[in-house]
Amino acid sequence: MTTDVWPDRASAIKTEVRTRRITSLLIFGGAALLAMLPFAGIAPFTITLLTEAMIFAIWAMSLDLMTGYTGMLTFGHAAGFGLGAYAAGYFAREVTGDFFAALLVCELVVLSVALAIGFVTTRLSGAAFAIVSLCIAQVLFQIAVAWRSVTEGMDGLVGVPLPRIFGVTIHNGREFYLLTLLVALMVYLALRQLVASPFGRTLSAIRTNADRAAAVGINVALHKWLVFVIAWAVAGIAGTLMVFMKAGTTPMSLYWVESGNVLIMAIFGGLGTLLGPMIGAISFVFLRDALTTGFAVWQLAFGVVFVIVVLVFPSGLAGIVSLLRMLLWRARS
Amino acid sequence: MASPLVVRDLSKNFGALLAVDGFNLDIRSGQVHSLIGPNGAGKTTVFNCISGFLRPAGGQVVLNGRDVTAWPPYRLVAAGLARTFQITQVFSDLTVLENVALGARSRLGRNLQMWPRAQSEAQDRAYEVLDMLGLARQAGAKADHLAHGDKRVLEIAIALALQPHVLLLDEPTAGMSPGETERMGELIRRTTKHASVLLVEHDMEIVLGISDEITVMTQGRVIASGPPDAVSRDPLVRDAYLGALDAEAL
Amino acid sequence: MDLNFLFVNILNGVVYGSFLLLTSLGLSLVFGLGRVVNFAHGALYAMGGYALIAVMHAGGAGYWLALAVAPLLVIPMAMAIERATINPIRHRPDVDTLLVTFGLSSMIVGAIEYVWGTGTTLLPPPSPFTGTVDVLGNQYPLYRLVAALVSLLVSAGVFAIIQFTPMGLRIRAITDDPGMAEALGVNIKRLLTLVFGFAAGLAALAGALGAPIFAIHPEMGMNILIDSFLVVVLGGLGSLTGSAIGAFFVALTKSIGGGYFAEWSTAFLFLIVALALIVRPTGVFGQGRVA
Repeated sequence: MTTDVWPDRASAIKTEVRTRRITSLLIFGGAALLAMLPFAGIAPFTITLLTEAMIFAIWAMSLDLMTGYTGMLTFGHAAGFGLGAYAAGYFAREVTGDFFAALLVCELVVLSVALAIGFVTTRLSGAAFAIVSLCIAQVLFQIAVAWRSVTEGMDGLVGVPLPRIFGVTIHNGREFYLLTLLVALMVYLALRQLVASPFGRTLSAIRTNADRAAAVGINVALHKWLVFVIAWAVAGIAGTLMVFMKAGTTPMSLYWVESGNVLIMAIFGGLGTLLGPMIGAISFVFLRDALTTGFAVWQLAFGVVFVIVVLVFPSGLAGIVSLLRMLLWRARS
Repeated sequence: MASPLVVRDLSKNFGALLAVDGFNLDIRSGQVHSLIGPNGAGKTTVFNCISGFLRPAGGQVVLNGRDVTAWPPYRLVAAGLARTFQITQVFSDLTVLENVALGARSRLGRNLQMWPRAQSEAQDRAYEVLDMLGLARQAGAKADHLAHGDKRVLEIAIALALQPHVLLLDEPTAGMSPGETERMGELIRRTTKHASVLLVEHDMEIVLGISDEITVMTQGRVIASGPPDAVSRDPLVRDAYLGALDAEAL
Repeated sequence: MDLNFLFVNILNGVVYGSFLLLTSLGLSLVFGLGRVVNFAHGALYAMGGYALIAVMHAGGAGYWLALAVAPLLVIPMAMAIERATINPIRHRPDVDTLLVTFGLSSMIVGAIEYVWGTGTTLLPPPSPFTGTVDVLGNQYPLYRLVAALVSLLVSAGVFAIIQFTPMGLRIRAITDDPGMAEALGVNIKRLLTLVFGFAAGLAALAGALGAPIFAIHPEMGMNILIDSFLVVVLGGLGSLTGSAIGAFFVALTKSIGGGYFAEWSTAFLFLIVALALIVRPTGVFGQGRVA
């Protein structure tokens, strides 16, 4: 029917399918490899680091959806993460450590807050949105510090039990690592579907030129609101995993430094690629561990590299995304 | 049958500056209606008011009998209005095909679909539009890499993919060579098979050549409106343009 | 209702408000002129505090001398940073300068921690203002009032410069209409660097002035930075009078509210900002959108 209209179409589709198959193979292969590590004699501490890295990867991917794909820079992405951690942790401690139940409660809380806040804040864009996001995260931080009866203030929430799935307790170490790996894989696949869908294409259009997108019939405000909510929801998943891993959380999970960390992970890893932030998260966790002795150096070095990265890419944030796109495109053809 | 686009008594001010005052317009089905006037006459403001990028201070915009005054752009698109931009604003990151597919997808109502199906339908439609406009060979190229003239055509392709009843073209021949301009003129006339066109232009040759009707604006007001030969002979119009020419010469 | 308690909180609010005003003015000026949101403003505030103790300890100087010198050390540093990192990208979208200044903030705070460690330093109020003074039956630290007064005087000075000098006129014109720069024949690059340096000087001064009141630690600038953002959001960007009103509103809400509702008052404050944005969705950083 349409092959006569578009002669190259058949081959274009074939290449696309092939690339997708190869990427999927790599993903599943990589996941399988990672899953085997605990059984291959890798040190338990490394497994712990990898677990943390996977949690951050989920968190960073959610940021990528909002910032890399839709162009909504935020300095407050710790909000969804910390909120999810507190909601899940509190529920787990007070009611039950069932993983799915805690996750459900976490999402109920995170979604209600995100829907309400997102409705207001997504009307802004650019620097205004970035800063207001920071302010929102700070509000949550302040509430976490102030609401001592629930959050125990600066001391933090403690005593969160080990998670249970279908009655089976997931212990720290190998078991929890595998759980996190599985969740990370599922989140990645889901997000990958999302960005490949018409909805995802529309997000790219919004990032490139929001006004033009509106003129093409895209309800920009609605899309931004949805992305905001989805990003928070996924960040909440990461928060839930984190609170189980650390058996608790503190207000610092809502602090602006954390928001900065996840931003760094996503930017260094490569915005607009989903896999990039995952790589960025892993690098971040291992680098930080290697340099913890000189924490001050860490922050200084990061700051310097961060500034250089932003300066060197000629079109800044957008340039990083385009550059990566172009490199991937070239690699594909 | 309702007129595709009627504008009644439109006005818009920016603070103390009255940019548009009592603007009226009635486009007939399948026509090319041009809006001309010296710089600063308020043409772009009118455009932005009709297409939802500015909120009018007063007046009405009626699309196919429906009052769409101050509707946001995305709703206007759904109601059958599409526009292009004076400064080329294609989605430079994306391929030519993807640019137009965005429009097609919008038309198919698929923007909120979160699972990857039936994009191919959008891409098919996009390809058809590109074929009609002669850009099919460059479907896979990055929009940024097109020649300026082709980019302007791409702008129109995106708008056409939305299958509008009314097409607003904002200086479509800006920055084009005479050959490209002629091609654009033919293209615009061809689109009247599917839509009515409102055109803002500076190139008088094109305007006189392809318009069914011309409205002349100066300083926010309409000073003449009618078929090309009537308007070109109108003394008020000559005055406005000559006056503008003199001012520029000074 | 303990009136004394309320009164002391009001005084605290006024004191903090004066400092907040000083920092907000700088933030507002830099944005109005160059559309740069300076995330590093808090770090520069901290830099002021540390420059102060550096001069006092290394140079053996007294407080007042160090207070005068500290901003003078920070200003050239800030100008160099601006030249090297912000100026080259000022034609890029706002978010890029925001990211760069965010990185700079990290850098400066990291450098401070590297040199001075992460601990908190307390500085006693400088003589001759070491004692307390009786204000309507309450004993209130004298230095706080003095520092507030100095802040207010400097702020008034900034207002005067902006309102009454030719330079100030140029700044106001360009803030209103960036295209004006060419028309006025202004070397915009140089002006941006100068104003950035000036704003940094204000922040550093605030940091040094506030050191005996608020203690010195590497993250000392963060809270006041966020509060300054709130002030600029509420007061309207580039508007100095707006900053003045906003600064005292924020400071008083925090201190009076803080006295009765602890940290809830801050949450409440952010809520007000959110509501302000609903009412004025055209955004406070001048990014109005209809579509």
